[in-house]
Amino acid sequence: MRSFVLTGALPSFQVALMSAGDVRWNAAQTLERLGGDEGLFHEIIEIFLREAPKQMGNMHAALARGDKESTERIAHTLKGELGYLGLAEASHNASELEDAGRNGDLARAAKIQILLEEDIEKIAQTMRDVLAQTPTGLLPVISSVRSSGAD
Amino acid sequence: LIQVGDETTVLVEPLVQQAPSTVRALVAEDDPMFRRILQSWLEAWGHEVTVVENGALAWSILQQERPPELLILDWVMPEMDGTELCRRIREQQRSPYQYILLVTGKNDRQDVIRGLDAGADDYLTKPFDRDELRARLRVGKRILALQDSLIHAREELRFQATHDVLTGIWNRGAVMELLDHELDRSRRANVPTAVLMLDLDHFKKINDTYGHLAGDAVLKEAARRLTRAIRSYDSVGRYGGEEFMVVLPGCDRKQTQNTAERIRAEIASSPVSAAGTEISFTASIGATVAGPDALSPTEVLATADGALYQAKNTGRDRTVLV
Repeated sequence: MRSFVLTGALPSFQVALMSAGDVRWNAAQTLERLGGDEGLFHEIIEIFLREAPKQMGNMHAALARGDKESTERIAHTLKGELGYLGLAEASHNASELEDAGRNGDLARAAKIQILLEEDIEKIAQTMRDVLAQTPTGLLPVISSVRSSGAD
Repeated sequence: LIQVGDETTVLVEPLVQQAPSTVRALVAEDDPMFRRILQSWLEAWGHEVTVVENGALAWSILQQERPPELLILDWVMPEMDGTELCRRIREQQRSPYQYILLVTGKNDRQDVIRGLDAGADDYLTKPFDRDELRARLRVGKRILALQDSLIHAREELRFQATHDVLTGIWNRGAVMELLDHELDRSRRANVPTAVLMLDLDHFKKINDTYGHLAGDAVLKEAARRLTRAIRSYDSVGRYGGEEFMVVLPGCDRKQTQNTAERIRAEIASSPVSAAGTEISFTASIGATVAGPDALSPTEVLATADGALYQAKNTGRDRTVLV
């Protein structure tokens, strides 16, 4: 069963996913990182939801054909994205997978890949829930008001 | 700084334009998420942004006429990575300078050194912070603005060094250099080059009668009419005092005679208003056509000068072609 909890009252909401994998996602922090731009927040999550499954598919294929370089490269990309979105545990798994790819340890890579895939599935569900709960315009502006004007 | 005749439409080269307020930025990043984030922020900060997903596309964008000047390149990209792109950009040595910010997921000191050595000006590690990125881009824009002002100053100096302050046409040094260049071409390509020496008639009397300001107005107007009477690839310069020199590439004797006559008629066409009166003026022209066996610029000029002397001695306001 998946469920997510908004901890604390809005506007300092936090989203935590309580499940077997115990994936936590601090959506507020992600929004803050994006300069408090709700529109951009939604866009970025949607891009992640669209791209992550593709990347996992590519990862499967890379492992199946024993392609170390691709495994390393895709894991590297996922590591960066997950890290940016504040998903430390999943990002760590991606990092391990990147190392395994670089070292040519494909057996280990295949094992970590399964963990990462679970992580991403849970994350994706959490994100979809958050997007459903907080359509554009309802996300509280929690941090630095977007600075106006050009540099 | 540069005084060119008020409505002068003479050979004034356009100065390099002042730094535009919006800096054109290029983002090369293979990850769609980061690509979108960077694009969104840069646009919000007032940049004109081009985004591409690999190094090869970035390279082709950079070959365009006015390429972006602020480059944000991802370190790891398919086709061509960030460091390779840096190296190529620096190898090309384009002017104006392009500021390169390398974005890297790597934290290794050696990698950072490699990136900077490849030509990056600065680097930023992922996950990058919005405020830090913005501050680093401000540094880049400062460098670009400095570069712009240096180019602007250089072009101004170049203009001053080659143009006559009063009339805005080429000065003596520049027009002599152009003549030298054209005579070289004559020899190589077996085409003629015509040279006209033009002197305003009784100019001293204009100065003495109406004053030097009126004399200046006549000189400016003469330069303007001269410029109007020639083709875009001809050159006109102020040789000194009231003497002008015109270089007509590829003109045979007949064309030279026609052009000289057209110039003479244009100069004498109408009086100029100055010192509260209408001042009429005319010019004498000495012309010569140098062939592929052309002598030195000095000797060609001496021939044209001899022709000018004849024009003066046979009544002025006329052309003599020798």
